[in-house]
Amino acid sequence: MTAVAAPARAATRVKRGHAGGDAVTMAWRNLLNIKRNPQLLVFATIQPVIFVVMFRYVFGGAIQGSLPAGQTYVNFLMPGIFVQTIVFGALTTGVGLADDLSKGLIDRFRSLPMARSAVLVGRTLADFVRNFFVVILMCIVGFIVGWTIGTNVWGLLGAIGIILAFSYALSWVFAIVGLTVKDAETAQAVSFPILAPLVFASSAFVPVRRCRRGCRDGRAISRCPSSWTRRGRSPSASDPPASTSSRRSSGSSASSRCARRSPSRVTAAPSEHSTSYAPRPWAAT
Amino acid sequence: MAEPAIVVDHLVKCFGEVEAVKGVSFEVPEGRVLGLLGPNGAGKTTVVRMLTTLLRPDGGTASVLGVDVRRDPQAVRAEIGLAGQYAAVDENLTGRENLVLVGKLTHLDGDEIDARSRELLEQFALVHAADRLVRTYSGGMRRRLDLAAALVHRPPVLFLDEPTTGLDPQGRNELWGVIQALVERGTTVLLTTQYLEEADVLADNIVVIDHGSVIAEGTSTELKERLGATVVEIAMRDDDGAGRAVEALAPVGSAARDGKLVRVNVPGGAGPESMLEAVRILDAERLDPATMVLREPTLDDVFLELTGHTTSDDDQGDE
Repeated sequence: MTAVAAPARAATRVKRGHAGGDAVTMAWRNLLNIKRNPQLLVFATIQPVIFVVMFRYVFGGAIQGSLPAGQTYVNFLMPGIFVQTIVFGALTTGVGLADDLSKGLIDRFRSLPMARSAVLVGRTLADFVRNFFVVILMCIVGFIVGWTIGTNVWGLLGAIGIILAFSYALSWVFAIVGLTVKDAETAQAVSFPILAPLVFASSAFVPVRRCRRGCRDGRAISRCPSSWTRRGRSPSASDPPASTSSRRSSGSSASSRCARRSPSRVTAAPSEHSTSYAPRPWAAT
Repeated sequence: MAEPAIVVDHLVKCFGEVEAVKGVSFEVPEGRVLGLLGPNGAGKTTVVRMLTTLLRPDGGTASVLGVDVRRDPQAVRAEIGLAGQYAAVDENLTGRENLVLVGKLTHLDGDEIDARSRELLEQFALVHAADRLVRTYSGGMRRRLDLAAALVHRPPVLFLDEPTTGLDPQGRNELWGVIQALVERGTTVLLTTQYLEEADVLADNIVVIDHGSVIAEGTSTELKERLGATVVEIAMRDDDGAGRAVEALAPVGSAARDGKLVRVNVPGGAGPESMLEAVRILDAERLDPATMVLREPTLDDVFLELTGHTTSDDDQGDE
């Protein structure tokens, strides 16, 4: 009864759009969502602000002692806070997608003659815009609690650029999480155990040397994941030849691994090897 | 007969080991309403998801207005509207914004989007709530908006997946009215439902599916005629009494039992006589019924007759 295939009668009544245009439409929709739910944005922002205040004023005093002379804890902390904010912010990409999926909105979009990429691109673009404002806000909070810029405005803008690029990349990672799980709550629950160790078992909030001290005599191999990168330098912290050699060869090829670290610390803490600190937490994430 | 708008030919879909749709075939003529009727897990939604290009069929073919859903899904999407059981509207947008969103995603011109949104808001009695956030809407309003969103680009073919599930009777009646108005304007509709009454009211043709296969097809009247003109329904006081009543009432018509409820389908136009006969038999057998009713058959009776179970007591094993 269905042997005769009817000729295609579908008129092309609907114009085919551009993937870019559809992505902008979807980003518009997602940004409206953020605007209509300001409490989500506020709470997402309050958490890092609490971290800033808590670490700065509660733990800061204790941690300050292990920082090299001349470095303030707030300056050590802020990059870590930026990364923490961004990493946890990326979670919202996954949560948002999972929410759309469970409510059937993605089915609606997929049944429309739109570019299919727009669902994901629009979502990540909107989250990118959101992250931009969050980073600006965190800068302001940082300045209020005494954060200072050691370089210049270009350095700052460059750093913000790197943070935002990192956030965009991470959004796609959590988009996968969001599309895999059933609902928003699950997306949140799945993401947190992945994120928490990445953020906290790192040099984001605490100088790596403090972790190392927790290991007996400073001679055991560090159990801090983020300090693994430095394990190649076998001499332990108290090993005099190491400190002399690194002091002697500062700037030379022998210490190329240390090149990106501040040479001033060599004189500031001569008994330590010169590369104890990595105040660039994203190296660890 | 008009040319079919939807042609489904031996459609198959598997989820892992489970064959959710086992070679379903049917046609929907242009401008007509087909009701896809079945209990939960029968495969209705899976069929709709394949026809609306959300799922790829594993076998068989399906086409909408002559376009194969597998070969050119994007062209199919341009011709269809989908409104589902979840009311897929964005809660954090206003009603109007939801319609504008769909208008933009179907690439209408800006002026047309405005005009069309206004038109649909009026048609669906949502003008007063147009600029309110959807999360403040009632269930019925959400469903109406969901249906409006499916119509923004004036699709000639409309898929409604359990459009009234979860609505109160008033919301259901409102939505029925809206759907009937659409059909009058020539839209082809494929509607899935577990409500037999809904298929009865809305659909020209009904396809009954159960466990992924078509078990009956025809108009509501045709399906009822298969069972005879009337039904004598007797509620017994216990299961044992119901069992004995089924045996005793065999001379009256084909009797079946669902718990304490005994239904006797009476062929021909012998309604009142068969009622009297049933009373006599029950009296002779010293069976004491709680209630007895003589009524027109419903699609629930059809379902019981065809599958041996009603729509409600189906095991919801698959999906």
